[in-house]
Amino acid sequence: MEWNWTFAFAILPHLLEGAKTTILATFLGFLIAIVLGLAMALGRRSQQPWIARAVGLCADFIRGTPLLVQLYVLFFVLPNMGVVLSPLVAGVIGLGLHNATYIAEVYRAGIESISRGQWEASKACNLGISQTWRHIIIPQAIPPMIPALANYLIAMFKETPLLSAITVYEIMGEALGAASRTYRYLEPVTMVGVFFLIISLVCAYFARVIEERVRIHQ
Amino acid sequence: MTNPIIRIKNISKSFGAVRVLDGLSIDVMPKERLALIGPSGSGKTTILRILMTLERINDGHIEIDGEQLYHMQRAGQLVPADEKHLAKARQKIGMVFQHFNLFPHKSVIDNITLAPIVTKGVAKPKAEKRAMELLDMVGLADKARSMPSALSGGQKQRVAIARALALQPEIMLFDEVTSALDPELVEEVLSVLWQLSTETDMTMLLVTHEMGFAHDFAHRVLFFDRGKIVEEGKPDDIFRQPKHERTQAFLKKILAAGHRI
Amino acid sequence: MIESLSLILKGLQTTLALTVFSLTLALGVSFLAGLGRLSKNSVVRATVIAYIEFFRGTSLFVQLFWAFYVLPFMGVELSPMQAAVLALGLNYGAYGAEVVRGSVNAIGRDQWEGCVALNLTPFQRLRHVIIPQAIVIMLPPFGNLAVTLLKSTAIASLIALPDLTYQAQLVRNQTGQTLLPFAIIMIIYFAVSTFIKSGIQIAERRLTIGADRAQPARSI
Ligand SMILES: Nc1ncnc2c1ncn2[C@@H]1O[C@H](COP(=O)(O)OP(=O)(O)OP(=O)(O)O)[C@@H](O)[C@H]1O
Ligand SMILES: [Mg+2]
Repeated sequence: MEWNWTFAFAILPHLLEGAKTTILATFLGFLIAIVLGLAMALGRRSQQPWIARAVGLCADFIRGTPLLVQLYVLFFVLPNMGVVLSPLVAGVIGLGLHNATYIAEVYRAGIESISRGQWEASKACNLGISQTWRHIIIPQAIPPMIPALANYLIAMFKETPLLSAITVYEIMGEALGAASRTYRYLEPVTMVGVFFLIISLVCAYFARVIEERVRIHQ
Repeated sequence: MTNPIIRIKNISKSFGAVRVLDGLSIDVMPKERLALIGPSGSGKTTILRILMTLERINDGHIEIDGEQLYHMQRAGQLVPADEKHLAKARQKIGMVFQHFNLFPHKSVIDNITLAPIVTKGVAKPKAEKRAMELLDMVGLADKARSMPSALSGGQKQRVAIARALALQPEIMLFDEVTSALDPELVEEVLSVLWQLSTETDMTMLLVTHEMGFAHDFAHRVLFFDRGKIVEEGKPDDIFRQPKHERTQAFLKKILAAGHRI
Repeated sequence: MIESLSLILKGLQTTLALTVFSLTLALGVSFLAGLGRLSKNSVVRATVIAYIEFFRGTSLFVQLFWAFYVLPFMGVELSPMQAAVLALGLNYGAYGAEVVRGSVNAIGRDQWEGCVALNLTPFQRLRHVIIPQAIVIMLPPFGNLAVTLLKSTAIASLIALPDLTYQAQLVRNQTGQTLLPFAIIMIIYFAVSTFIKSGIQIAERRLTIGADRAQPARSI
């Protein structure tokens, strides 16, 4: 099969439309992941052992099962329980929830990397718990987390094609749609690949720059 | 008149802009024991590492037993040595490191038998028999099956010596083999070196800060400073009547620090 | 019900086979590419870097569809299983290569120098000294990769490979039930992930016992 430029240009607008959805889904999913991830990290540190245990178990379960199946649950099972989500909303929640379990680990490592001496010094300076978090712990814990968070953002970006399985018309959904209409897979799938490659390479470059920055700042 | 076993001719070595060795030449005769002394950073370790092919030289030539170390003949010309040539040249040389460099995942005896088995194709039982003899010599026969982590620093270093000897090198290089050890463990390692000096006729190069031992051990002492030999001679001359003022200053400082000669 | 279960069990077989095959390919590729990344030969290094960047940069999902739908037009006809093994193996091989490289790099220079002083060839250095120690470092990240790979096998259902996820969809279509099939396969996936993780932990403990991990950091 020869590469057909006319066809490639014909589907380009669809793919770009899909790319917008891809990027939107990535950022919305990431937003959910960093918020839910924080909730999970804090839940795991809860004073109530059963809360910590339950959160840990849920996180392990989500991390131990495929994102695709979780998307199916959100999309096919929830409506039977009266919760109807649009494909995009279901997809974004699934993506966010799945990755929140990983991001919770990033937070945990970040918080644990702060030595006990810092807590004790805060006490000695007569800071309250929330003051200690705000002024001492969080400002120190966040910079080293940034590279890891950036990596998860990139990883989530590369996972978004999965959403096409629940009929989200992100870039892969558009490409597969075009392919099944015309029986030509070469151009659409290759173009999606190129799209991901370009964005990943650019992101990897910036991730490296950020990492350098963080290292220098420490 | 025999030929030198090591012939270092006018070598130079730089790390970046720092010239560590500057046009250095040394001849070492077979069976000779040489002590290299000098202040920190003077380039003593670098010389041994160059002989062990752990560093490359920027300039000059080295011959081991009449064979070029870093160069080889090809089509009538001297060209830089390839890995195969280096491997052949290395067969004659063994080295003991300041930090032992034992293989942590292998037992004491496996550390010793690894190289004879894989590089020389010695059969395992034979290699183990020889290893046990060496362990006996360094006083560690009972530790053959121990892991290195279970040994003291002095014991580790004695294993490292046995490991180097297992390949039966003609030349042994010792780089501050006691300076990573607690003071009470220094003696047990030095006594092994002493035994080697009396019972074998290997050529040995010893870098050390143990001046007393260097005095008794070496046939010849080289005093280094800033990548150059400042003074060399018999131990008695260097330690009792150093001629050069830098040698005098160095020895004075060492003595003041509590080392004995 | 019984029928549904047997469908799902068949799917489990396929999922396990796919996991084992792709993991094997990924491991082989990881070592080849990871060591190639450390090669002195700049052509080898560049090739490996291109491979790693390409497979990490284009989404696994895209690679799978490309292998299944585009390769046939280039004369390479692959079954869903073959396409999935190829895509998963090469994709995870690219991540694994970085694991191999990182662990080999984590072995101290003193170990390499010890090898040179004993006149081991470059291959013998790796085989007897460096890799045995690096493996212990590799195990946990490889365990994580294996679990992630297992989860990723689910996307092979989208090219009609009858794995767990595909069979659950089949049951959903046949019976109209949604919760049950998905709940069952989630529990199965979770059980297999847990099995892999504990297997790695046991292996880790085995390898660490006796080995000289406890060596205190050298002060130089
Ligand atoms: N790999 C390297 N990179 C850069 N500089 C180096 C390197 N190795 C050695 N040097 C420098 O070369 C000089 C000589 O080092 P060398 O280790 O040979 O000294 P030394 O005489 O053995 O000292 P010491 O008694 O402290 O062991 C020092 O200034 C050292 O900083
Ligand atoms: Mg030194």
